[in-house]
Amino acid sequence: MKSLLSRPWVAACICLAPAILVFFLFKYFPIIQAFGMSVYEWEIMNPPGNLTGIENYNRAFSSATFWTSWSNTLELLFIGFLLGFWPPLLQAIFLSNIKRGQWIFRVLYLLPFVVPAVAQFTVWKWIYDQDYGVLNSILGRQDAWLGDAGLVKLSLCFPMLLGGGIGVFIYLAAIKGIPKELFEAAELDGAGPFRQLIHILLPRIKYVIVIQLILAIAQGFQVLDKILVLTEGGPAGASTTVAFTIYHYAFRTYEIGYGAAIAVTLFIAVFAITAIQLRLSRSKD
Amino acid sequence: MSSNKTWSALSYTITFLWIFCLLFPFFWMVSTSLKDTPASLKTPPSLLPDVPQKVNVDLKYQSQANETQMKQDAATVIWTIADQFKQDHIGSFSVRSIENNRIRMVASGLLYQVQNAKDRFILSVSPGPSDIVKASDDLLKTISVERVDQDYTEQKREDENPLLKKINDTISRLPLAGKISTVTANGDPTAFVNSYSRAYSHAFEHTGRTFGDFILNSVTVSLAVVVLQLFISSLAAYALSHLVSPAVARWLLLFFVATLMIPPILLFIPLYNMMSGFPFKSIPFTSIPFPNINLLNSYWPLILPYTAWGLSILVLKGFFDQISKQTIEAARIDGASEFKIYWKIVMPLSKPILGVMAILTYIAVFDDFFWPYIVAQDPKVWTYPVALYYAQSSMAEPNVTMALAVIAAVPTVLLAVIFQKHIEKGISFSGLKG
Repeated sequence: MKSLLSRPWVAACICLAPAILVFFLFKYFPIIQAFGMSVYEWEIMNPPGNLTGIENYNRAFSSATFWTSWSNTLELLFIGFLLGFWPPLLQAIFLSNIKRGQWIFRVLYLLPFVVPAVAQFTVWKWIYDQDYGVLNSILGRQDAWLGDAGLVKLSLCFPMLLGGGIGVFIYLAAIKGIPKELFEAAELDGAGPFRQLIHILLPRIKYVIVIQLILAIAQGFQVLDKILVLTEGGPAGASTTVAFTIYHYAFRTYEIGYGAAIAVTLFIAVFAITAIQLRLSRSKD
Repeated sequence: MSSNKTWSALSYTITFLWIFCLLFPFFWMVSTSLKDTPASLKTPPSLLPDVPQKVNVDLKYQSQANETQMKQDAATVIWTIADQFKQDHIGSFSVRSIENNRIRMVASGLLYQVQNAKDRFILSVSPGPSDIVKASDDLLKTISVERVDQDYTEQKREDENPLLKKINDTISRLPLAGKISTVTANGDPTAFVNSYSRAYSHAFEHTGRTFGDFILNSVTVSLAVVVLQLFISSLAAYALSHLVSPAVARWLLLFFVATLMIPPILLFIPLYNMMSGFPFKSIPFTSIPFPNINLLNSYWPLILPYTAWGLSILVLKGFFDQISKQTIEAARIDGASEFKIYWKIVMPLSKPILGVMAILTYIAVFDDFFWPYIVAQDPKVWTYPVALYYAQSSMAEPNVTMALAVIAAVPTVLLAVIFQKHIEKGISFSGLKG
């Protein structure tokens, strides 16, 4: 018995079995299930329900709400990228220059990462309040930041300007990994800090920036918590994202098959875009 | 980077400014939570909360004063203060009834309790003194009323304080059996936490549970996930690192890490379905029924899906790879089974990285909102973020809502402050390897 167990491959199987089981059960199998559910008019009480084939997909592609949700998602992705992608990078660059007391700033930059998102959304909902919110008092205006279709997307993305979070630390670690001699040599050659930034620092962390970009885009497609807490998809569907639509159909109207179909389209889109990005970044090397 | 002084000064300045802005929402959260409700709704809102006041009114009675009169007077005074001095940051009050130079009765409590009671017991829109007298018993039940027998020392009259003067003027016009002796006010910082006490019991009225219960749920679930997930991930990482060939390890690692790219919402739907009849209601692709159990509204759906985290396996494998092969080979030659090696050699050496992954996992699970929101409908299993969401959508008092948000933030912020280095280590491992 003991000799059987101490053969590496037997032990390997036993060690890997739990992980493979849970990954299959909670990650891969559900993907297959989602595809499966999308071709039914899925009944949760009495699965699977009527087999409807691609009808759910037809319904989605011919639905105006579906396409609006995609355009909303892309708009939010774009605005979010403009406002939110570069602050953590800049913050890390400046932070790397600070010698004394760096740790205080580091702890503070962690706050957006550790405080539950719901709590942060709750504060922003209150800050944006039209009648009593502090933003309107400071600006002396009466804007409906979350209630005006023209303002809502900006309001949803504006907090990203404040930066912080894990991005700062990922960039910081990458910056710290750059050998100091490179900077010292450049300085001896007479290069000022700005030139050092452009010609030494950025190129050496390009790899990390690209990965963060790919992740940011993939995650930008999936904005959901923020929408639920802040706007519920409003006003009048101006902030309804694809993910929110999926949630709505699967968990509010219980049209689970339809929701699954939209989710499948999201999955394919994210998969495709990520794959393309990875291809592009590989070929550059 | 550069030793340039301007660059350094610029970095400090910009970082300071940015941090200042970043902190503002958190500051606002705390500041609002310390205000009383009218102050939190004031336009324009003040930046910092005002120190709550404790107002004391002494009423003197002639010898034949009876208890009913004292109670009615107390109720009238208290109600008037609650009604007319909402904007004056009065947190608590006491009304002392004095007879023959001895304090006979003390009615004290928190102002918001009275304001809540007011809505419940006094039904007319602009009640006259007789309405209040009628409701005085009910009003007094919500606060503390004690019969005592204490020495009375005359308090100094403070006529300069404009608030006290106003209170004095207003109360003097009331038809009271007793005579107003003095009105005093002191700062009462303990009243800052009023909205927290209310936050704590808010949920109780609607769901029969307090927010302490929800925090307990969150902690239980998070700890369970940490234990299970680390166990599963470390076993797998050990196998990938030292038990299988590098070629096989590469593919298996890809199997695990690729899951990080799956959009969570895609998984919510089938996972919810799975949890309503675990593991399947019918054998896949057939209609043959399969024994299953409905796990919804228990802790299980809040724990199980989180046990599969590819990042954990990636990071742990990276660490295990660095454990010298010779140590492990030597142990094998000595006849140790793989599990002994895992448990007695590899794991103790990995305490630091296990600590890192434990904290990251804990924070991720504790803070997670959407999946628990979908799958934990019964308040008995609500995690704190879910409870916070429901509370903020049904509550109109910003100070209590903000108190709830602050409570949500405290556990993980404490972890961040204590384990800051660990968290950063974990983030940089995952960022650089990813």
